[in-house]
Amino acid sequence: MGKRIVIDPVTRIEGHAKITVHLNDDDQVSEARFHVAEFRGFEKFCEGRPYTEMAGITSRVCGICPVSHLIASVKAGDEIMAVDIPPAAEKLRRLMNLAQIVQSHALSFFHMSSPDLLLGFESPAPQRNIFGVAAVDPELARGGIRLRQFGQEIIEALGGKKIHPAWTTPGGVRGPLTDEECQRIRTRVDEALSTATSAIGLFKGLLHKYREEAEAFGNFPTLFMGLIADDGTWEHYGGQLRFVDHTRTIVADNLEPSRYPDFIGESVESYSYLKSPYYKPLGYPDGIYRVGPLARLNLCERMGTPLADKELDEFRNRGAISGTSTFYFHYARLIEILSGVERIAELVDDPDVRSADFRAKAGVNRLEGVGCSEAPRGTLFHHYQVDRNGIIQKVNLIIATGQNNLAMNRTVTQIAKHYIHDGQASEGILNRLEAGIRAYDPCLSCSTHAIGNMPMIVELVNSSGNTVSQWKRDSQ
Amino acid sequence: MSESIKNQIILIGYGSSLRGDDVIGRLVAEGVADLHLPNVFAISCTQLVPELAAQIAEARAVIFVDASIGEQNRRVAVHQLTCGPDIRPASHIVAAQSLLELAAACYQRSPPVWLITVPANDFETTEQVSPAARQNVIAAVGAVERLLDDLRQTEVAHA
Repeated sequence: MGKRIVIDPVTRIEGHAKITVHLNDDDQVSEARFHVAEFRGFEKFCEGRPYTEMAGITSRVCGICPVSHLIASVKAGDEIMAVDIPPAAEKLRRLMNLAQIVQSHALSFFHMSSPDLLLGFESPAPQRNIFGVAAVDPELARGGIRLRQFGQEIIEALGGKKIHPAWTTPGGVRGPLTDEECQRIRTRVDEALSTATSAIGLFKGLLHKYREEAEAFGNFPTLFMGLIADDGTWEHYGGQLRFVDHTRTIVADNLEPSRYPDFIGESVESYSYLKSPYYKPLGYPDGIYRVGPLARLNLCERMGTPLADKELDEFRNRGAISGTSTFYFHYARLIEILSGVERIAELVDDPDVRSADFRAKAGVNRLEGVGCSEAPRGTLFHHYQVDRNGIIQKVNLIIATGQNNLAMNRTVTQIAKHYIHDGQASEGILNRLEAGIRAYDPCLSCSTHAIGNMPMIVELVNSSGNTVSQWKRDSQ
Repeated sequence: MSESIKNQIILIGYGSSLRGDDVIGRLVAEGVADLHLPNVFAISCTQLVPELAAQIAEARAVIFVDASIGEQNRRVAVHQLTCGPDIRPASHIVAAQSLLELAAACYQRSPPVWLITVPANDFETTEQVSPAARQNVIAAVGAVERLLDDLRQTEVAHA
């Protein structure tokens, strides 16, 4: 009789999920699954709304990464209007997106993942949090808080508030930065760079302790996808799409985001509300691909900023594992923070971010638009179809986290097979299963459009459906 | 960008503007801000986030303002808070007590803290605030002013 171990809820991630580990009759792991039980429904209830409202509506998919949806949404709106936005507007949108990447990555690393790395996966659960980090390294905790504050305050300076800023609009943005705001950002750059650099140094120093985890946490070949600039530089806002394999060999290049249905398929599994996108030419599920920080680093030839490029070289010199292991998402995330801060410093010195030419105006000139940008967690698509009055007829959202769904499932299977034997799983092992998911920094509210909270528990269930034992975690 | 609030009294009113009366805390913060009281810095926000710990650590005192529900909470009430770990200590949303804990852990500072709870009735998905809640906002602003007076008198007495 097979058995099943269930982790419910998965902690220190955004949103609600559970993991089930299926054991065979010999009590060895046969498979593990990542289930998302939330359902949101944005794709449906947005029908009938004006496309101009979509940025404000879809930004409320999430409180962590609303900016990502703002950007992708208005880019879809730009296409519906058939406008090229002013250069100042693009730079301002880029500035906001970079701030979003910095603050989101800072939350992921310092608050959600550093407790495991600094205190150990086996450390007592009540201590595995930002308070535990502050107890052993208050400077790291302070740095993480201030780094996220840095990103959030740039978002607030641009959009008027940190969460759900209503500032981007199809055609451009609603306003530039002032001289004073640019100066305030400049005064914080050095500290942000120092925090990012220190965190990278800390992570590199800890890598030797986690060789086993690096080998077992989602270390398998997949494709990787993301936006890339025309010259091969790391990109987060524009450019075209590229797929590479785990050796960084280009599989498909110069893909126009608006043609995503040609190369991205979406499958559905009965055990989760999270869809499973895949690379169509390879079919499902062989077309598994990953998005996000590790993908973006694998795709690009360079980061395009000096300090980050130096770190990227060292990252790549760590061998093949740095290109395949999900554990290395943490490292990639930190390099992106560093590059993000460097780019922010460049942008606030650009006079265009204070320009009065920040918006192009037009009506509906196309009945369809696809907006694509890089959210912190990976590539995000907003696809709208409208009528002649600009009223939404159909919406398709392909969310970063969803694109990692196949990989997340394979990751928990790999971790479970490596650590769980004879049907036994210690608390530290259960934490490693969660940590495998946490490395992707999933945003489940985004990817499932859920309503409300769902309490969850951990169960070990045999193949007859009987609960053999149960672990309860505090509900989120 | 955040101004220096060193040695100021911070008032943090929080709640969702899309959930009816849940926005009460923010309305109180905005009401206090409109009074332009000396050395009082009012923050209106949707959620309590870890970054607030940095500002709390600099403050002379902190006042949180939030909506309350339940028959037992029919009046504006002022509670003094102490540190305490949150049930979700590492998420982007933290309780008031956890913020104090974070400020103490990261900055070794624990200013005196109060929580003012304001009765609320309607938490449906709406941007409308009930008339009763609006009246309670006025009462809560009054409670803030009295608390601030008490604080000043206490500080003068100990000076």
